[in-house]
Amino acid sequence: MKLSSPLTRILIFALVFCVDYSFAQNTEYPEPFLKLDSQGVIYKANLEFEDKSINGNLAMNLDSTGFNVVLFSITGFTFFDFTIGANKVHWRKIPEYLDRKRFLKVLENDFRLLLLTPLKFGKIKKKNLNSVICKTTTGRSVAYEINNGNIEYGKLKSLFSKLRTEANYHYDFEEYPQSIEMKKSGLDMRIYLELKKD
Amino acid sequence: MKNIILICSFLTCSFIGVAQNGIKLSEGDIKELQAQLETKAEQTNSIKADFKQKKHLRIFKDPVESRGQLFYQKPKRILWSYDEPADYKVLISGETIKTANNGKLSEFNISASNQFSQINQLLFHAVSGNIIDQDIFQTEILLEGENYIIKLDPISEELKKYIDLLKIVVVKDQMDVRRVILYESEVDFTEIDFLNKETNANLDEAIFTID
Repeated sequence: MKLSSPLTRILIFALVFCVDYSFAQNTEYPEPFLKLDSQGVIYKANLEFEDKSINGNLAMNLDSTGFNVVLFSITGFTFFDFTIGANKVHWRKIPEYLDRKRFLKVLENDFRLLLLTPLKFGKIKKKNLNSVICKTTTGRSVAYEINNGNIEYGKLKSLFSKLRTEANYHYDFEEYPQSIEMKKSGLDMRIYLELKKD
Repeated sequence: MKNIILICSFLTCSFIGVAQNGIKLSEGDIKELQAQLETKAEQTNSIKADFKQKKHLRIFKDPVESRGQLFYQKPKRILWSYDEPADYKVLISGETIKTANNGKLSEFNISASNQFSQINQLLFHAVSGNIIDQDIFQTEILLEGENYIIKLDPISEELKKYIDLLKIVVVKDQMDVRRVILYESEVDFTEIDFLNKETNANLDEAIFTID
């Protein structure tokens, strides 16, 4: 088959189109709560699990592979590093003592809730004077408290499971949340994030 | 004329090549340097220095910077006191690590974690200057200008899980550790620069009390 033949051209066009289409499919993510782009954002992080506590920084950005998440200690050591996309997660680094399937699933679900839940105002379920409850496209409910048209506080709960997560977003009248607290119902675990300002 | 330019360009490139790569020390020179560093470490009872830390992440173009003061006292006490971006203290005293985060205290035992024990030992050695251990690392040392560049490549698979390479810059004349770079991977590493370093300064006991 000659390269210049019409059939070859059609095949090449079809191939390029398919590759381009699948790439575009993979790069479509819902707009999350957090202000994330290739520049990224850093939150000061405190993770508490039973009587243990880890202080560090949580760095996150968005690129064509998905949401990149790195938690590192104040002294510089990386605790975990992963990329989370619409359907999969790629772990790059995880401490050996945390490398347990169940723990990683819990962590993945929390970050799915944090990063892959579209939180723009969706279908409004209930509206009071200062509060709005919205139904997200993934079926979750988000309760907002509004003050003079600004979001003051948002609350999001994960779907029913043994380890239900509740995420509380404090906006302090800014466009994006200034602090986030995630708590678990069946586990003594808490993640507190505070936006790092230059 | 063209030939002269070509020769000049070649010589300049060669010179830069030597300057960047440095002169590799022989086994004998490494042993001599090791002895000098051990003597210096023996003579060092305390260190007080400012530090600037840069954490390089694969996901960000610019490093995340922080700074503070370091206090070291023989035999086994180090305090990393961060001022920026937040008030945070890490006190390593023997086998115990204490942290104070905006007044909130935490304490744990290093010996419970093999990872912490090994990294802690490394940091003590790196700060005090007693850094060449041929049993733990494959060592390569380059002389670059006024500095020795010591590259320590972990031998054990256990240590390799946490540290890809440790690079230490020692000022040749003073045998003084100026910079430590800890590579967790090629794209994930922490640089620590020591500034205004004072050796054998009198350190008040209260410095090492965080409660």
